[in-house]
Amino acid sequence: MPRRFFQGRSVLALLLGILALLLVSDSVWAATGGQLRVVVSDEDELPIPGVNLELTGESLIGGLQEKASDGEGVALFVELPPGVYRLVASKAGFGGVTIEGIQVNLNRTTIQAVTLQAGAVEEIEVKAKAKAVDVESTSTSKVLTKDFLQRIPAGRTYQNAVQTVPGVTQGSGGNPGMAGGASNENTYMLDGANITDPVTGTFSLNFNFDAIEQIEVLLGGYMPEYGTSVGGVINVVTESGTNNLQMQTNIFYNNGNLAPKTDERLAADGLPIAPTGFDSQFQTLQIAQKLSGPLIRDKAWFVISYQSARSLIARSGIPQARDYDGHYILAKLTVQPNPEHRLSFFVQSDPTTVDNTDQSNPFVKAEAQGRQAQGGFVSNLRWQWFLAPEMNLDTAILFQKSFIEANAVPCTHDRTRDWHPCRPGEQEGYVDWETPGRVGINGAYDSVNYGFYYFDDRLRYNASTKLSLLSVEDRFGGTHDLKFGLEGNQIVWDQIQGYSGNTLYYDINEVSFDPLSLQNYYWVEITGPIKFRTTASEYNAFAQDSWKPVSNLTINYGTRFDAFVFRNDLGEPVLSGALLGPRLFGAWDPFGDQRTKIATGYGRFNDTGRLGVASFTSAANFGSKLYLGEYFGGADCMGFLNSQSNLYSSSPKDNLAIAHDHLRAPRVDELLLTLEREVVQDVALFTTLSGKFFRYLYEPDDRNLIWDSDGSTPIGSRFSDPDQYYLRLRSPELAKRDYFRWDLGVRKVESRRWAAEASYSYTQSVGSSTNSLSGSFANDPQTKFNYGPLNTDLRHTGRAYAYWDLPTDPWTIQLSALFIYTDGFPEERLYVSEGPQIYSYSLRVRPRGTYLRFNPNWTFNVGYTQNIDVRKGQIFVRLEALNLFNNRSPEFVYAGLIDTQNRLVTSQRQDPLQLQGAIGYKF
Amino acid sequence: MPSEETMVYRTIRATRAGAAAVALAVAGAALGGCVYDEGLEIANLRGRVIVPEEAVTRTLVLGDGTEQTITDIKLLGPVYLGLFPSVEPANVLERYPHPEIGPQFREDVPGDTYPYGGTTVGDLRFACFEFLRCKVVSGRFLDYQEIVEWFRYIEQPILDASGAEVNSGEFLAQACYDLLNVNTDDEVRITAYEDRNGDDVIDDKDLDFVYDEAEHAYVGDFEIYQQEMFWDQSAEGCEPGRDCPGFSLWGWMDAPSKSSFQYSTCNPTLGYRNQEYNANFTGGAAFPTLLNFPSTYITNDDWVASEPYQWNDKYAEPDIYLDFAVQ
Repeated sequence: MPRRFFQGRSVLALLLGILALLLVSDSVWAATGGQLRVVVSDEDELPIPGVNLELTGESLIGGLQEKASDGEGVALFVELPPGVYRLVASKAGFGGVTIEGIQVNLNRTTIQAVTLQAGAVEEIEVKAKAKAVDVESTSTSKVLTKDFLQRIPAGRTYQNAVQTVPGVTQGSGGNPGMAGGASNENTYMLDGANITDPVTGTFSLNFNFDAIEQIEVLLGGYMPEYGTSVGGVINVVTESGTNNLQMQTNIFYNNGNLAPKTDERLAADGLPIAPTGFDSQFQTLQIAQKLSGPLIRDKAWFVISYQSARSLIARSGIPQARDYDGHYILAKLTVQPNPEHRLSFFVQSDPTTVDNTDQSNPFVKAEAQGRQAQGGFVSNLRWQWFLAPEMNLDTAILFQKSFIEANAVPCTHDRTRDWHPCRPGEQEGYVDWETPGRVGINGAYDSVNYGFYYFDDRLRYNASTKLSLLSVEDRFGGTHDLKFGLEGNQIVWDQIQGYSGNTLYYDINEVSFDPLSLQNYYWVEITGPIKFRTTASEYNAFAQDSWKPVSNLTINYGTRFDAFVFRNDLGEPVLSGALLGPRLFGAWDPFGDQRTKIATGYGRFNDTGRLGVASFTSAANFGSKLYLGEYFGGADCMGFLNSQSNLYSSSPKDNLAIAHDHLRAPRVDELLLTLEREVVQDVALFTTLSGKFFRYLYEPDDRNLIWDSDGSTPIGSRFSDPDQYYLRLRSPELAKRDYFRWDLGVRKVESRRWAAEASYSYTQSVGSSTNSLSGSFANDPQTKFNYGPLNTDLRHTGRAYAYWDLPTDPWTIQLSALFIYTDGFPEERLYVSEGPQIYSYSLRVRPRGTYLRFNPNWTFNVGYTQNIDVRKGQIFVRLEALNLFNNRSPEFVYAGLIDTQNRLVTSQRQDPLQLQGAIGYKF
Repeated sequence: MPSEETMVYRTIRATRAGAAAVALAVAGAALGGCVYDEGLEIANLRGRVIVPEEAVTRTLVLGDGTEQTITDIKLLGPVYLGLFPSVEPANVLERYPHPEIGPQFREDVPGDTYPYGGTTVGDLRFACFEFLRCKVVSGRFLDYQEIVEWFRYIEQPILDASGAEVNSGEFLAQACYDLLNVNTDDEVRITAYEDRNGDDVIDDKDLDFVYDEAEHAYVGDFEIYQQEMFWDQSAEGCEPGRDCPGFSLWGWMDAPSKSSFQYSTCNPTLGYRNQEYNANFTGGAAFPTLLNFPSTYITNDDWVASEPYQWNDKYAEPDIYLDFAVQ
């Protein structure tokens, strides 16, 4: 930084202006680096000022950093890329000290004590020790390092790896459930950029597991810079390269076609769960490559990473296996031309096709199977400006596009595959957009063609900036780490959807139990593709301070300001607001020995919404015409006539849903209490009490239908239109969720080549809404059953892992194990109403979640890695057994279905026992 | 990175002010946003329905020609309660007090009453055999054996899918369990299945209506869930919820047909759809416009409320008397 910059009054005024601006707003940035605070003292624990400290690290771009300890013997290194560092301390009159292996983690301050001996002449080399208790962190969070991720047998997905953290559960669709939030209520960050799907609130990108440097998992108590997630935050930081050219190639093959397979299980009350049949195929293959190194030594590094992910999984006797073919590409360039400026740019892309998407219905002919092409890319340009040793400005712009395209599987002439066969005259790969599909109901075959198409593009434009002022002293001797940020987001969601040939037929069995005997039931017509666009604008700001009034007390406080407008496809604002989210958390080290922490606090987290909610009132996607087929004799059945006046009965011409004028964004108030204590060297006990209170979740009610006493049958209609729901989006007080969790555990940080952790969590999650738009309030009389244990009410969960590097140098054997136990989740039985079929509404007859609770679900994974040093590099061989005991407990149950043997029906069970083999090479 | 410590400390003054501002912002945010008014008056409305003894008294002509007068809750059909803008005591169109109606758009169909809400006490329930379609109401039978015996008593014995007479309540219960794929009575929701009065016994005191000797009537509780309140604000200066007139509660009891024991409010082409082999039929369900066009469904021997209750206070728990016999 040029000295002149800071020497004018105008500059100071500018800074004050920026501060003033930022104080009324704030940014949304996750940390991508950590800090190192070095405390130098002599043998009598007296601080030594003026000690020269040289910091180097493989991941530290820009080369060696040099500082001198201040009057308190303290020096702070900021914005360090996560990784392992080496520190050299020297001062005339003292013996030098070199400390190796200092681990710097995401969003953490590593405190490294250095003791110099007066008059010593020898240089001492010591190895840094990991701290068992982070006495300054006020959040319930954990950093998963690269070493951890590479060792732990979690199936090479970060979604699995994060389940080693208490409070994280499996969730659904690859989206973990975190801290009482639904699986679509988390925030996903990649290298500091928010990559959460703006429509669904789920993760939006896949990437090469080997390219991950660290993952920060935040469950609560986190500061405003991390945004507004009401669940948790998964903050992934990828590698940035080093001064050494490095290459790594790994091949992972995973086979789950192993016997025995046992999957019929009883729920806790003895009710059987129907067998699902067995996966006829379960194979995955991953080929991962990574190349990184310097373009200019210490100044410009690159990383290129590619992973091919292919899986063939056929479930439940489905003849056509689900064929997943993903390609995850990461290119990253980091440039630090001088100490003041660091630029980084990355592009991550994950084009993927998934063929034969329907794996739940055995009555699907090959030609009626669907393909989903999905993926997208995110590009992010970031500029870090180190204005002063403890001041920096972090600015980024991001563009993200993700897409989903659903249509028929392209046909093939290859008769060896049970794939969509091409008809004579059709070219290989032909997709039929014209021929209407036929959907089977009540066990008839889906046939002729896949009947739908759907194109979906989601765009996010983001710009953000964050100013950090670190280690600022106040007049009382305390220090402050101040951060201020601003962010703007523009989001666009474009959709085109329709039916092939603008028509979709529904067939029923002509002869009972004969799926081949098709008889037309009804059909639906549209005039053409349905197109619509919804948009959102968000402006966010934050201000936060990490205040250390005394050395053993940290008080983190701050607030967010989130202003947002989500619009439907008519451009009408549906969700809007300007909300404050204050946080106040503190951590106290009562004995000042960095072995004990008491942390507590309160925070408010506002859910600013998703486009999926805003589109509730969109105008498109209406007006399909329903015709009754031959099954009904053509006319006058179930209250329908094939006449113009009745054609829209199943789908109104216009969206009848509205949004209530006074919507309030959902919010969560969180209370936390954490106690940690290192009881013996490197071993700490920890316990956390967490309470989260979700309020005002978005839920619609129905303004139209008046129901009988149990909500089974409508008996009147306020709009004199008993064929339709007139939904109204609300944020009612009754739409709520209360979440309580108690964690108790013991951890042994890595030392002497091994690390381990075991924890137990007791969880209660009770409420009326599992997430927004759950439909809990669409039927007034059913309100009496709305409140109860949610399916995230897992009660007892336990997890344990350990890894051990066997001391067989120069070769190394790594052993690891992972155990996760989850109590049975509560399930509710839904009953078909007795109303006309158009009103078929799933009824509860008892409070939510009290029908039964499933048996426990547990898995045990083991891993073995043999690293073999070779002339230029290292070969490794890895074997993993996932779900070693082949448990097949249900993960999902159709709440409304019970089969003819009075058994609950599940469509998804735990993945079977899988053996995964890998071989890799790196240099 | 240069050492610009001098200038950093210059910024300290500014950041002190920043820290104070952050603290103020936190305090302000903590105090703000605690109160949220959705702007909707929504409440669960509760009250009682009182049906005179006469309404459930009927003279049966038995097969041997003898007459027998009985009073039985099983003659108390579904009770429909609606919330209407107002009720005309001497309706020009009907023989009984009737909700006000809007313009008539279709020939032979009176205008719509445009109800605000409503509920039932006892629901038409498919009792698992086609024979019982539109003949069974929940909350009237203690158990399945009583259903069997009742229909035998009124000389309409229940026939199963093959046309054979059903003699056992257990058989009927099992038929329901099999057809509906359930395990318990509370899933079927036809008979008394819960101890409503908390006396540790499930008996006839746990049905929808209980006989009140003082009133000489059957009394049943009702609850209208999540009802949005409406007030007539045409009166000058009135305040909704305090002194504006509210909507009117009015209703009727659909008495079973003397000949078929079916209910006129039940549409046999609606409801549970059975599609097993050649036994394809629907189980019957209430018409979805009962509260909109009550005169279409109210027939002789039904009992209506002669005095509607004007619901001004959402916390009121009124009684509504179905004391007007339709003849």
